[in-house]
Amino acid sequence: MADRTLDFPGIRPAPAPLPPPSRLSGGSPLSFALIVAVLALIVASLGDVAPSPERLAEGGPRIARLVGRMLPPETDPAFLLRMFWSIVETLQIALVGAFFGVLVSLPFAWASARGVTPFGRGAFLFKATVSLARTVPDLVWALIFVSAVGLGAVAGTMTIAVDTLGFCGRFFAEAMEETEAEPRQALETIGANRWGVLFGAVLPDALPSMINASLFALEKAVRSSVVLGLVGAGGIGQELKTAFDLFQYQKASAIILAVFVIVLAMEWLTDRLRARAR
Amino acid sequence: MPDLETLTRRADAPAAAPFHAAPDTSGAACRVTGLVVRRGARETLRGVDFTLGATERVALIGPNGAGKTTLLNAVVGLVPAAGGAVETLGERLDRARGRARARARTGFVFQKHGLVRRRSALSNVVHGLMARPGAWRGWSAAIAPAPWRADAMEALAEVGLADRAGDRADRLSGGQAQRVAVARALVSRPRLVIADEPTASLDPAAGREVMELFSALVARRGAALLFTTHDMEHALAYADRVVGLRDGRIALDRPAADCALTDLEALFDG
Repeated sequence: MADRTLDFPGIRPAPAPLPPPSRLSGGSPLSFALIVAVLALIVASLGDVAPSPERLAEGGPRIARLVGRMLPPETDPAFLLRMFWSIVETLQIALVGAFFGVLVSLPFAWASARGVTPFGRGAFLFKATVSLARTVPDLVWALIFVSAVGLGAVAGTMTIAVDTLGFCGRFFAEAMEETEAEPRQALETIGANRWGVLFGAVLPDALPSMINASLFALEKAVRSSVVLGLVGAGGIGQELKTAFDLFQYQKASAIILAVFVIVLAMEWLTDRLRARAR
Repeated sequence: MPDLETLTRRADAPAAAPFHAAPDTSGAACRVTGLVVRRGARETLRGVDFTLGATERVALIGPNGAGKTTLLNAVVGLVPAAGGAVETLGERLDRARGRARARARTGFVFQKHGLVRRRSALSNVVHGLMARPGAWRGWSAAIAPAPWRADAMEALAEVGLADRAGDRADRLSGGQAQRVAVARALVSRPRLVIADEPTASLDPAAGREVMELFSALVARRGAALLFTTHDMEHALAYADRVVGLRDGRIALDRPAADCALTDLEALFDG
């Protein structure tokens, strides 16, 4: 078939199509070597720490026996009342800790968000503080605070606050960095000061993401506050540890069931709130 | 807006020899002298001299990358000058205090409206008052004092959107959002209004409507207007003077009445 473009003076025939780029683009020898090294490490570690089939076979019946001793869960009214108040304390730790964590996260996020921070390179210090709060596990923070302020709920609340700072500090900063540049620039041009840009443009735009992150933080706080009692930082975890230490497995199963219901209820509630915030 | 006959007559007129108009610079809204702006190693403005009269309306035209937006940004100190000087509303922009004072009396309309989407139209217009003392009360219409809210409502009424004051900005059409942006730029009664391709994201009818309204409101307030556009008909219809930039230099500076469409289009050739 003749080339039709030749029929139209001034229109040049299309150049020959180029071959498509390689399917495996972007991989350097270094990244390939890194992937091989990581896979080798996983294989080498499997022998040391992964459960062997024999161990699994032995463990199965033991778990079945333990579950048998846990049933039925304890229903003694005096115990249930004590558990109820422990759960209330757990929720108080989660709520107050998350509240203070979110509150402290706001200035840290503002100070560390790229394009928003007034501190230039000094923003690194705030980012590093948030990273420290995030990378140290909550049980380690709990041990530190129990040593500092003693056993009980106060240490738990402080732990949750620091843990929430690590989580929300990062996500709030990201939400602020992702806000639209045009409204910010518009307000700067109008003559708005730094606070005006923050409260007029940045926060309203970042608010849905920040509410989302806060609700996730609350959910996470409830889960964390359950186990903080294991190291003496108050809440239902303390009851759980005592039950296991004294081989009171029926009480332990009642506590685990209650924790399951609380976490599920909290997830349901935060999902609903997140949907409303959109 | 000139009718087709007027535009055709201008296009048919013999091409006038290039000349630089001598604007009335007494009480100039803006005076730019030998301005050089660098982006990395590249000079986006290379020795620009330009004066905008106190009530003059100037259209800034030129091909993409000619330096139009850079010049607008330099006029409010959003980009630093590598050489030369910029004086806006009598303030030197190389000092933070001068920049703040100049911006407080300048309105800016962007190509993309730049409204805060989750805020109401009224809040967005109230934002335009943040250069006033007690700026924090301009963060939102909910905490703005009654006179500020009244000013914002008046500005919204002027752009025909008073009935949409409570609607969130992301519920407005493109043309309506740009009209709210015009209201935000004018609510503080600025002496200088700058617009960077204010109709580029609108369809022709909405673009014409916004420009007509915008130009009329600026004229009514007795402010100076500096706007960039790729629409040559807008340049001729809504400006007293047309300034053309090419490769970071001024290549054309004439009263709009002396310009023909062909003169302006020549700026984009080669």
